[in-house]
Amino acid sequence: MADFNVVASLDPLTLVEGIARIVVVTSGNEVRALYQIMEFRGYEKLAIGRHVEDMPRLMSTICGVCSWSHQLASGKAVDAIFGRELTTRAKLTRNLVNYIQVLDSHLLHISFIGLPDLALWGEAERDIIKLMSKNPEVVSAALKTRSLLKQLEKKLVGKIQHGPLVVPGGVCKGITREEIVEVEKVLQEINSSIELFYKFFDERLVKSQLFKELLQRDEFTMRGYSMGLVKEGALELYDGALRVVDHKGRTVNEAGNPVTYADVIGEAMASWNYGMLPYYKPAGLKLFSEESTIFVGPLARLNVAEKVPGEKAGEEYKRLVEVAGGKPMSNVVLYHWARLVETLHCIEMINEIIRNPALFEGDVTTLAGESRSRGVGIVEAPRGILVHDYTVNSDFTVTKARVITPTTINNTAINTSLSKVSMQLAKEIKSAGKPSAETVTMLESIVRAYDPCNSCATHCMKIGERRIVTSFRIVVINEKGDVLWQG
Amino acid sequence: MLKLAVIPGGICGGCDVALASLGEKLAEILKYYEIVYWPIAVDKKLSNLMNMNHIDVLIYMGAITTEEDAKLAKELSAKARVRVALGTCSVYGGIPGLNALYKPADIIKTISLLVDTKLESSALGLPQPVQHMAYTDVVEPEVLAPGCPPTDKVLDQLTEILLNYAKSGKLEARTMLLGDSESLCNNCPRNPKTTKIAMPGIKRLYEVKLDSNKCFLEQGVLCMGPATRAICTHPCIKFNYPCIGCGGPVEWGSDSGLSMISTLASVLLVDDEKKLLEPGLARELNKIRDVLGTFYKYTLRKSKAYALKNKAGGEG
Repeated sequence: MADFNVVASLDPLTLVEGIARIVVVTSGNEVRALYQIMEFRGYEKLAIGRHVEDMPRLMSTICGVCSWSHQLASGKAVDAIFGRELTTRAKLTRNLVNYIQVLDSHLLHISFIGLPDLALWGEAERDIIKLMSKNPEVVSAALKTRSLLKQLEKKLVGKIQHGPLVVPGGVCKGITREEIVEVEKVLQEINSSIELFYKFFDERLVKSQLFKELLQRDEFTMRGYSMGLVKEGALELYDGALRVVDHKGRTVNEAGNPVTYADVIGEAMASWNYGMLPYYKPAGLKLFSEESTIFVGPLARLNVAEKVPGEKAGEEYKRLVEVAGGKPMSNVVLYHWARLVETLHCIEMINEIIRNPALFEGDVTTLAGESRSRGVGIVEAPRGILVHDYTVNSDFTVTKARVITPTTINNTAINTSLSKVSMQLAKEIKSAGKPSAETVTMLESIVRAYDPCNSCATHCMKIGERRIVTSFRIVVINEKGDVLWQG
Repeated sequence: MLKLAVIPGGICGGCDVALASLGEKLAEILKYYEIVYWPIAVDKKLSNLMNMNHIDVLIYMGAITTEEDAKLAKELSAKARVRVALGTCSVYGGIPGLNALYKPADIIKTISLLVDTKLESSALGLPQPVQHMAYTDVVEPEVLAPGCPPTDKVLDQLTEILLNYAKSGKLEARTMLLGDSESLCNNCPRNPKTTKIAMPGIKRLYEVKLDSNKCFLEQGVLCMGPATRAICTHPCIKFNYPCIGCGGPVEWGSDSGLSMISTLASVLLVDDEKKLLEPGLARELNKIRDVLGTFYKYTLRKSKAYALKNKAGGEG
């Protein structure tokens, strides 16, 4: 790709996890808004030489928000290396923790980012503090739910992050019936909060003129490849086949063996981005083009699945598809709704698991199995497909590790989406010296819809100026880096 | 009102969550302190903080991974009257500190071998990385609050220190390492102090079904409890997982790996005098294929092992 000059940067982008900014660049006659991840950590390097059985807990520290997802994906890779099949009890326990993780993260996004972003559209500050002044009942329900979920995690797994759970071929401890009594109480309370979110979302947003308008806007469309796990065609978050569906709804890939992920996901490393830029490998790399862009997460998952297990979740899924005008759904604003559908799904699945007697009976670990030198684990983390891929030597120490996070995959999708706003942005900067408030709002909303978690995406690298502020800041700079204007 | 600033370095977000989950204790702190900077919680600009003449308490989370991190940590800490290193990354380097022996270029090289394509641009750059450091490598904080993430015990003590400082303007000591000054092993629910531990050999975690009541060392499983400061109420051990040492060494300046190795020397194969002959012991110890990751999972950057290796030019 040709080199480019920096025209302006929105620096740094707030209300996303981790550090990133939007930079406007020119390359010849082309103008682009780029999403630039600026952190650097190096987990692929520090993994080398480690005992592979230590990886689940080590790698869980990639992210403090979706720590359990990393532990579970890592655990599946380790199980594969030792050739171990989990007992039903161990599998249910891991599934339970995974549903709690997705539920927790989704509710965090919905309450702190999603609802304020949409409900306060057009206002300068779109955060939870502002939402609190307008709709205190929604915010207090959000805060209460969050603390309830943390209680739940502490009860079930001892710690709220980076805690003990996965051992090769199982879990270190099973859950008891006594522990579940408390869980049921907490779940009931969480349930009522979600109903409140749903009502608010439905009445204030889905039925609003703004929502209808956003669904029509081309800038919010994403016609790339949806990727996600499915089990017998249904939505699956822990253990299924990797399915890819194109923008016409055709299944172009479905593989049960996780090792084949590398045939589907290609990765480009750009010198200007500490997040990788993955792409749909069979299409070849066409940077910023929907023709090779993959997107993952709630919206993509509902695109690849034919049905959503759970009575309420199933119904709500159908309603969403109807409003979206059929599948595949290609407007990123619908990510918010898809996230709500999945919270219902998670609660229904949690309820199903805790009523399953097999959760309390039998072994939690198995040692039987034939070991091999490589293992790949894939789970659906809250933000989408998460891959951990390890190779070991004969004494089971790691010789190679690769991690692809959902935010890394969506890094390309976000860049592709932003490129649709580039022309407008360039025009405004040229005439007024800065982007219009409306364009800034749109840029932010596009990024936030994907719910990027940059701590995750930069598991491999972490560099960054620690200049996070909670308000959105715009900096216009010329190609030499001189600051021309600051908002 | 006193001024409180919370500065993130290279973080995962776990310490932010722990601090934000303080709830009522945080409310109590806020009766005396105004938060002048904490990116995830309040809308205050860093430029304002840079212009302030002094900060009363500065809390630093995460590790130092860039030149900017180091510069910011030094400049802001120079203005602070009380400096707090929060979390194991800040105090000891943490898990990302396992990269401390590598140069950033080596890390980038390893990663670049995993990808399919490389795209170059000279115009749009990124900040410069440095070799991984703890906050305590650039500043000497008054309060050291370890844990991954910091535990309730550590956060309770920190709250008390902050409240006392607000009322008296004084600290109890020049350097305070939070948690209790004893090893985690001392109060372990599995190991009453009266028991003499005998380790039958060494087993890796993939070789055993963990017994949920018996001391891990007596099962042959390495547990860092004897060499780890009592910063928690044993959540991992209660959940049937051996301690992996996130609390760091028992005392500030001591070395968790060396303490653990010395413990092993006194408990390993003690019931079997014949095996104590050197070859038997060596065979058992040789089962530990990853010495750094086993004994220094969270503390490599502050260890004697790091000091020696780094002096010798780092690890390839």
